[in-house]
Amino acid sequence: MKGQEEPGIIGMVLIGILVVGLLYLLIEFVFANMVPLFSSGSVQIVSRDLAGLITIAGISPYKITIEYSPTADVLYNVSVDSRIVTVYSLETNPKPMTISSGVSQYATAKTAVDNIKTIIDSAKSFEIQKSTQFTGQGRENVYSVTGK
Amino acid sequence: MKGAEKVLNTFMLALIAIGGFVVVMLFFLNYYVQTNAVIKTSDVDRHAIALGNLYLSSDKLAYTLGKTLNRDVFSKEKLDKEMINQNNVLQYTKIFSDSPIFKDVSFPNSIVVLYVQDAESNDRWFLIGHGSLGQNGFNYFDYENCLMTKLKLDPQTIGRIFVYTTVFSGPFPLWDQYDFKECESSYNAQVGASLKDFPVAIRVSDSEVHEGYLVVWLREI
Repeated sequence: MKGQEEPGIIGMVLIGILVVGLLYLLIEFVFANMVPLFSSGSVQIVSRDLAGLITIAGISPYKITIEYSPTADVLYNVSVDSRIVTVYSLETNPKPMTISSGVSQYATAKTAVDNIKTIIDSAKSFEIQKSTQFTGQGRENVYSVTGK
Repeated sequence: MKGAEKVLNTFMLALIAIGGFVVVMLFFLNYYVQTNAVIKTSDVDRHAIALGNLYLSSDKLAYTLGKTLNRDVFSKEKLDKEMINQNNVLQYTKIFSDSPIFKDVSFPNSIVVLYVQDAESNDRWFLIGHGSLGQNGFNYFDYENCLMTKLKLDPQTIGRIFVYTTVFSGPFPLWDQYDFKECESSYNAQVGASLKDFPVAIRVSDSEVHEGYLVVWLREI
């Protein structure tokens, strides 16, 4: 009688291990791929926002200043070169359920305006400025991105 | 017999667990793919809207008086100078020349068609160009050559240009969608496209301003 029950118990334990393993894969997938799409502090969102704000600054005919603070507790390294904005996340204390090994630590986005070449280290918030200078050859738009 | 039944039951339970997992995984995968597609499409749409607004503020097209730039008001003089006037067939030679408009404002790895129409006089201008290219293994010059082969300079094409410029109006008179798609597929280009239009005023002279519109057609690679 006892011998007949053993295969069932072993089977149930194996199924339990299988289910836990599969659930781990599922949670890993969700947090690695889906959470960054919606998290306001993820590098994908920050790079897209920064590139969009730099582009939008160019719409102003004269000068404009835009302040952008994506999230309170994450630092970012940012580089802007050749109309490509690259954002690196400096998450110093990774939280196991929000940053898993599969999460990308950097992302890039495109901007449409030139005259920017910036490297920013460890910034929480950003200031985008656009001004128009009048030279002998006409108007020249100058952009700057600073971090603090 | 009872032991064999339990093994079978356990096997069935394992199958149900795996089946359940596959269903849940497919649900998330489907959601993930759909969300990504929506984000990418909205990216191209947002870029096209931003581009249109940037061109409305561009001093290459907008009417300026001293230091004052009149956003949303295009100067006919500048349109004639910077863009190709569809009523002047000779200007078609400027089709692939680098335009300062796109050097100033364009997204990397993108192809842009600008089209301006004066709604009152029916004057039309267009321009095709690209932002900085070379990423993702896409070679614009191969793409351009491919498009050029579609634009054969034979009597049939010249006749087609003549018919388009005199009879039809539209932003893409020299190629149809199939020509673009054929060239893109031969270079394995991953393309998202968006077309947006914007109302604009066109300053014809000191005393004459017409209503018109700007169409921005953006293809991102």
